[in-house]
Amino acid sequence: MSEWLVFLGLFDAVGAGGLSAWAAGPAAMLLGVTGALALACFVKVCGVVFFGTARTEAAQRAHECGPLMRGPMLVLAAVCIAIGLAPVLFWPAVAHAVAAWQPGWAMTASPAPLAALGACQVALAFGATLGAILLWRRVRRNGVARAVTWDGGYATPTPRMQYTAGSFAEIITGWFDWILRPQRHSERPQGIFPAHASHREHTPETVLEYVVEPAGEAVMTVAATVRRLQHGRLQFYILYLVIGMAGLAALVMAGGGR
Amino acid sequence: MKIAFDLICRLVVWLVLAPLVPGIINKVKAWVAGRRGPPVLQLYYDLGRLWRKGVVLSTAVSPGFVAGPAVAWVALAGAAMLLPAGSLWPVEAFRGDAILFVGLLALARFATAGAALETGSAFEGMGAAREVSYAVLAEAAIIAALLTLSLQSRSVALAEMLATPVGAGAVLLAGGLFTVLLAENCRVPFDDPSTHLELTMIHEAMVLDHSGPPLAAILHGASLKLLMFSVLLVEAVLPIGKLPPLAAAGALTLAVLVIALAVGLVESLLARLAFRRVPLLLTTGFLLCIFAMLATWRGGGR
Repeated sequence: MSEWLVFLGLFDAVGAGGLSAWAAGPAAMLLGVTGALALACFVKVCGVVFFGTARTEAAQRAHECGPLMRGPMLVLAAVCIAIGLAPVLFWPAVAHAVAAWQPGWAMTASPAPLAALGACQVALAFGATLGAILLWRRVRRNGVARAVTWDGGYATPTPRMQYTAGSFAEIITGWFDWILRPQRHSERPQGIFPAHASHREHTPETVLEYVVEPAGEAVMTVAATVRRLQHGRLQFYILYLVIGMAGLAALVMAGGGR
Repeated sequence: MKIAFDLICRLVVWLVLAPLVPGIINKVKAWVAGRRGPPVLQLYYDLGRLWRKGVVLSTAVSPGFVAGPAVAWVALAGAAMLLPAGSLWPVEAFRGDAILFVGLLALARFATAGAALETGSAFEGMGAAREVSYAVLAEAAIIAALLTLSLQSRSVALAEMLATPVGAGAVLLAGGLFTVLLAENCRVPFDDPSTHLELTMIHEAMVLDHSGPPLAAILHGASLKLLMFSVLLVEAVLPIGKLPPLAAAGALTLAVLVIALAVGLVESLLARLAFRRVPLLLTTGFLLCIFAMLATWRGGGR
């Protein structure tokens, strides 16, 4: 919903022309790219965390958490679904926030497309549920056989052969490696009968490690230098006061005493 | 009541006609190669056969594996229902349905890629990774194309956007959208729908573990998507909306046939691109859409 509203705003800004259109056009395209990246990310997270077979023994022993932990998450998910299915109900809250921020932009009635969009989402949710049930019934009726996942003829697949999060994201991290700067540690197989080879790849927290941490270190260095002034010797504090007073006096005299 | 009847009629037309397009493409490919090729209605036979077949499910999957294709199919059918067909059937457009259209395509992709990862297969993970990665660039191109149409028509409703033909940038937009059509539908040179080598697949690798009715839903959804992109391309470039209903139907059919012919010729004459070159071609499609947008901007829209 929020993305739909932002897109609508950006498309309107592009249509309005002028300076804002120059910003809104690229912003709309970047938002599209961001949406597709987010989709890739969601698929990756769901796939690696919830799907497939357990990769480790610890994961095999994983069990569902208690209702006290599941409850709040279910409530949040239900609210998200409610916003998607009936955006009109939640519009007054948005309108109220907008009115508090910019009274001129306040709208009391919810925009018509929002109701239409809500109707579409309800139809979609109904259709998807119905489709899934019908397909599942058809599958059950035709008969289900269970077998190992398609492995291209390889006889002994193991859970470790599943696609990893790193592999899944490799294409995208490859495109953006000038920003992400992934670190690769490779030990290639050597000799005629190589006994050992390994490849590890790690994507650092780029903003944290290359921007926030260096900036933090600079601030810490400056702070450490300033801290030397604070040592607890009274005579030096009196000296600071004298220097301060002298400085103020110089300022007053330079200003002509006015 | 009339609206419900109208909606059902439109849905039936979309669903019935969709499997025809891959049949025509295959016929063109066979014709270029000097073979007789499979019948044009082959996909209908395949779908009927798959619908009656039993299913083999991986031991690793949950019921979500069957729900994935169903959700993807419903999302694609919903996206198709948003598309107008010139003056044949004016849809109930609302502001922002163009964005919903893109969202529905993304939902279908999420459902298919999610179902692919359910199996825990390396092949299907690889296919899903390629699908969602290339979609990043395709999405930018689609948004640029929609911005072009929006600028031209001063609207964010698909019916109005597609009713106003793009002026100066029509050829550029057609080039860009055709590239997106090939990429989104996993056709050559991005992917080869008839390949049997898992390592070179994109879409086909994602659906390796599906069989029976879910595979039928996936194949039908793919044909629906192909028809949808063809209609979108035709309506974005040609003034179908300005024609009387019969002429519009004729022009739309003819133009979709031309697109099927073009896809068939591309598949016959070109080899699949190396994976490292795919982003380059997609970026070219994106740039074509951007230039179309700039040309429309320069033209001052409607």
